[in-house]
Amino acid sequence: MTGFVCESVGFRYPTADGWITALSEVSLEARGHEIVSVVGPSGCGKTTLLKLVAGLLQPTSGSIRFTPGENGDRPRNALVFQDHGVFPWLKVVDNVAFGLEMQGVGPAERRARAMEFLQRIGLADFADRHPHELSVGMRQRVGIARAYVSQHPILLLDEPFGALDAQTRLLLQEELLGIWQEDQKLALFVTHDIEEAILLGDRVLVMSGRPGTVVEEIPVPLPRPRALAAPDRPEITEVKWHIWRHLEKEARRQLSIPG
Amino acid sequence: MAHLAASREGSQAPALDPRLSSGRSGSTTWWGNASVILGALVCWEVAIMLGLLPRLYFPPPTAIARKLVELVADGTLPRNLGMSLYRMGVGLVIGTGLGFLGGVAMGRSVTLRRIADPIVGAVYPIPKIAILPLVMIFLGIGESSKLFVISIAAFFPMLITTLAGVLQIPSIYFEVAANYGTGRRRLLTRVILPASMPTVLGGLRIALNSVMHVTIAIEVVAAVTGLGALVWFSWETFDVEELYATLVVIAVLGIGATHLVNRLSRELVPWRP
Repeated sequence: MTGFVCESVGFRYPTADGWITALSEVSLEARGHEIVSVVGPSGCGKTTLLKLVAGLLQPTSGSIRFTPGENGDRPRNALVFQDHGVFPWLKVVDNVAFGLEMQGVGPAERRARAMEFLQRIGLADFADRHPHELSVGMRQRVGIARAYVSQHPILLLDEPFGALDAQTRLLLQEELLGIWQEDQKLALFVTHDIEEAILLGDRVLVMSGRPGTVVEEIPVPLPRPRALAAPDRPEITEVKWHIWRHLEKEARRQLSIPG
Repeated sequence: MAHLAASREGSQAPALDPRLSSGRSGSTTWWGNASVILGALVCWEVAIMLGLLPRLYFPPPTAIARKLVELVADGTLPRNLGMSLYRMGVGLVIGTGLGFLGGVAMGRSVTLRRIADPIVGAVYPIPKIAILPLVMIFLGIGESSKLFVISIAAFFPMLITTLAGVLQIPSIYFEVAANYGTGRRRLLTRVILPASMPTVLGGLRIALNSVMHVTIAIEVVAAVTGLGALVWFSWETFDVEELYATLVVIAVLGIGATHLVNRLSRELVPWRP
C-alpha cells in the first residue's frame, strides 16, 4: 500500500538574521487511499512540509520514509500549487499532458489521455487555449488535471483553492471530491480553511506556527462519498470549533488582536 | 509593440477619462505614421520650391527619390545593401546565439555569474567601434575583424537580457518541473527557453539596434563596401543627394527590423496577455 511516514521531521534554513526553524518534530503517517488534511495558521510551515514530502526540499533533521511502489521505487508524487502552477506558455492540453511528457509518453498518446480527462471535467473546449485566457478557477482545475493525468500515486495539494472566491471554491471542492471518489489516491491536502480541511479529509492534522509542528490529529467521522453540506452536521460543528481554538491564538497574535 | 497595443486598446470600451487610458493618447497606427512622414516630405518639397531651404544642403525629396532609383538601377545600392545585410546577419546570428547561451549558463550557475559579472561589467560599456583597431591587429583588415566586432555588439545586449530573463523566471516553474522529474535538456527547452522568451526578444531588439549602429560605423571608417561606406563615399564626392538616399535606406532598414522583431514576438510568445 502506498504511503509515507514522517519521523520527527525538522527543517531550518539560514537567513541574514540567523537560522529560522520552519518545522520541528513533525511526525505523521499517511497510507492507502486517504486524504489527510493539514490545517494551520499562515506561516506555520505547511507548504514547507509539502515540499519536503515532495522531495523538493530535504529535511534538516528526522526522516521521511516511503513505502516502495510496485516496482520497488519511491512512489512518485504530483504537486498542485496555490496559483501560477500551470505554465503560461503551454496550451491547456499540453499543461495537462506535461507529467506524461516528462515520463516519455509519446505526443499522440499523452494528448489523448489529457483530452480524455479534460472531457471528463468539461474543459475540452479550452484544450487549445493558453492559461491567460482562462479564469483563475479554471487554471486551478488545469493544475489538478495535470496532477491526476500524471498517474502518480501520491497527490500533494498546497492550498489549491486558497486564491479563489467563495463560490468558485465550493464548486471546485465538490469537483475534487468527485474526481477523488472515482480514482482514490493518497492525498495530503494543505489548507488554512477549517471547513475545507474537514470536508475533504479523512483526518485533519492541526499545525501550530513558529516553529511549525503537528499539535493534534483529528479523525473526521464522515462517510464517503461526501457532499458539500457534510460539515454542517451537528457532530462536525464541534470538531470545527475544536480546531478553531487551536488556530485562534496564533491568528490573533498575527493580527495583534488581543483575546 | 506600439501598434499592437493600439489595436487591443481599440477593442475595449472607451475609457471615460482619456488620461486613464495611457495607450490611447500616445499610440499610433501605421497609416498615421505614414501620413505624418508624407506630410513632412510635402512641406520639405514646398519649402525648397519657395526658396525657404537651400537646395544644396536639402535636396528635395523628389530628387532623393530619383537618386534612389538611379542607385538601384546601376547596382550600387543592391551591392552595398547586400554587403551590409550580410555583415549584420552574420554578426547578429553569431552574437545573439552565443549571448543567449552565455546568458542561460550565467543564469543557471552562481559561480559562473560571480566570475563573468565583473568582466561583462568592464567590457560592455566600451563602444564597440573603439575595439575595431585592436581586433584588426589580430584578425587583419579583412572581413573577419568586422564580423567579429559586429558579433560582439550583438553578444552583450543578448547576454545581459537573457541573464535577466532567466533570473526572473519564478521559482515555482522550476518546482513544477522538478516535481514531474524534468531532465536538464527538457528543462531548457520546455521551461527556461519559453519562460525567458519575452525578455530574450527584448534583448534581440536591442542587439539588432546595436548591430545596425556598429555595422554602419565600421563601414564608415574601415570599409569600401556597405551602406556606411556609401555614406562616406557620398561625402567625399559631395554627392548630397546620394548621401540622403543612403540615409533613407538605413532608416527604412531600421523600421523593417523593428517590425520583424515585433512580428517574431507575436509568433513566439502567443501566450503573452
